Amino acid sequence: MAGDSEPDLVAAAIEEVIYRLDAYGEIPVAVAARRAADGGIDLTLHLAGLDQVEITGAVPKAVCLSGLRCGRDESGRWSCAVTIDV
Amino acid sequence: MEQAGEAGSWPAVRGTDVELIEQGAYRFLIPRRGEMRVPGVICASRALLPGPGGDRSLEQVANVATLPGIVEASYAMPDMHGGYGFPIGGVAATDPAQGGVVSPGGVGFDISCGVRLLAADVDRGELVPVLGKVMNQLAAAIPRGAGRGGIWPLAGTAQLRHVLTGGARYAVGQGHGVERDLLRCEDEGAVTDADPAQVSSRAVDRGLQQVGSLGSGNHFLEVQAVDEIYDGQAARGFGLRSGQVCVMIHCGSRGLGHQICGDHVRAMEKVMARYGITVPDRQLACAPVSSPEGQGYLRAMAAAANYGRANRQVLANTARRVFAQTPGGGLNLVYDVSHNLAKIETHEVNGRPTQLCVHRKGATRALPPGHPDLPPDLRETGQPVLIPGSMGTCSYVLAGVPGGGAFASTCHGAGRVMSRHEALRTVNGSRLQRWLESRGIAVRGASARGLAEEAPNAYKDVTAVVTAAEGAKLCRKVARLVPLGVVKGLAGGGAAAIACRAAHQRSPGGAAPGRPAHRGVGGDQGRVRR
Repeated sequence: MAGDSEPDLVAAAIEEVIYRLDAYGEIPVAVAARRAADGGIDLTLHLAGLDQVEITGAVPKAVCLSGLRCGRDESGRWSCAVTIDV
Repeated sequence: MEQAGEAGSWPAVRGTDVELIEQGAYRFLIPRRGEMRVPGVICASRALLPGPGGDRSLEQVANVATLPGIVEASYAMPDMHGGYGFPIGGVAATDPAQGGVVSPGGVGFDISCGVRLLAADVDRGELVPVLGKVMNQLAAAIPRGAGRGGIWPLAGTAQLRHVLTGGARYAVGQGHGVERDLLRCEDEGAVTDADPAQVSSRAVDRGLQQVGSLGSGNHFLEVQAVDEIYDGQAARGFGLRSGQVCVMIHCGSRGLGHQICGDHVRAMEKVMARYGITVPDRQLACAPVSSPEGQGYLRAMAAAANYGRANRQVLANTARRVFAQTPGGGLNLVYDVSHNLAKIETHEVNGRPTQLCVHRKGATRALPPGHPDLPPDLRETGQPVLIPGSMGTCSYVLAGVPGGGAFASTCHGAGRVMSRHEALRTVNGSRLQRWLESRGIAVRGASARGLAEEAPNAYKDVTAVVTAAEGAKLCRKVARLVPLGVVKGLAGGGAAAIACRAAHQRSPGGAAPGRPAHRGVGGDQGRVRR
């Protein structure tokens, strides 16, 4: 992954979901993320086929790096922003 | 080549953080400041500029002007609106001999997204009595929406490689069209420098089962009629006549192109420091055209461009089969042109022919009459330019003009002014559907929410965009088309995600109760490292 940052980990997790959706027609119905010993994350996706769900939103295609952020600001407030191309 | 001027004494436009100087009815200048290497030039009317509180497109035009090796100006077309890194409607050319860069963000995620127009043998009066039947058949034949499922099931990666190198030429060779189609495709249906080795396995996985599919979002297949001819000679050259039925297809390189863009943005981010490059926005990541990373992207991008052309070729041939049954007769290709692409082209810079890397993102190449890259039967008129309007409104066929500015480029569509969220908040999709049907426009494959996202008032007025493009001497009008029916992707709500009912029913263990078809109860574990 480019950049050793929390925002990039968020982006990678979403990209994994997009990849599963596009290549295999699968969508996670439950997701768990755990910090791994090496600083990465273990991502667990419980997957359902697209034919098992009702599609109610535009299809996500990619994660944009513009404005990507994840973490605490100076006041200690946590926030995350990711723009997804559809 | 038209040169970008320096700041004059015209008053700055209010309501934007970027200084903007009016230089004429359809030209505004962003003077050089800070890290900008060239000025910004906006080819638009005052009314088409982003207003106070509007999007960041003007700032993005200025950001693009900081790219190494950029020449002349960072241009924006009249349909300009905010994009990722580059504005949509942006044109930027860099000089590889002067350290010029290529940026995947300057092409966009949907590489070679473009428009294909086919002209039918039948006229509007002959189609209208059977329009419902034709639209139903098109809706049944055109895959769209999420995930896999293209018309052309490829045998495997070896055949996908043929698509990536052969584009529409390979598709036609495999029976998805006729030889004449290739004469009316940009680059005769395929660019030559594609290298499948530069395409990641993830991109291959995403591309294997999507050849011949529309996708979703603003992509569509529309049945139209020629409503007005502005240039009879050019229209005849293009194969268009008043009252004629047409089919317009707007789509791109699907998941494969998106994956290639993302892969190469990240690859370039890693090496920019090595080349001494910094950019004001991560999505502007770039590398010198001559570098291994620059060449790698251009060859992968070419592969995606060929995929996009093959995709539109297969869709067009499917529409052709439908029309052959009802109402009968053929569909002849008018033209196929991309509006998300970078190309190595020769343009005059400071009076000298110079090889440039021209990025067009949401902008269409518009070659002038006489250009050697045009097929012989179009050389006299100039390149056809296809401009889809927003849903329910008109579309235009334009042509390139002598001395066309912005490296022979023009607009690509209406241009969004309202986000999908905002459109959902302000537009009633069901009411919009009734309005479309009351005007005789048959709509297939769109939910009420999906329609609301693509509502006409979520976009600029395409006629104002085309008027500005013509006023800026970027193109000329040839014909106007009006919609008769549209097949949309199965897009739904405003969230940039798929929400699923099952997710709300899931058990703590993750599997939805009563849904035995769920797979991966034990979890499909992916490893994300930093």
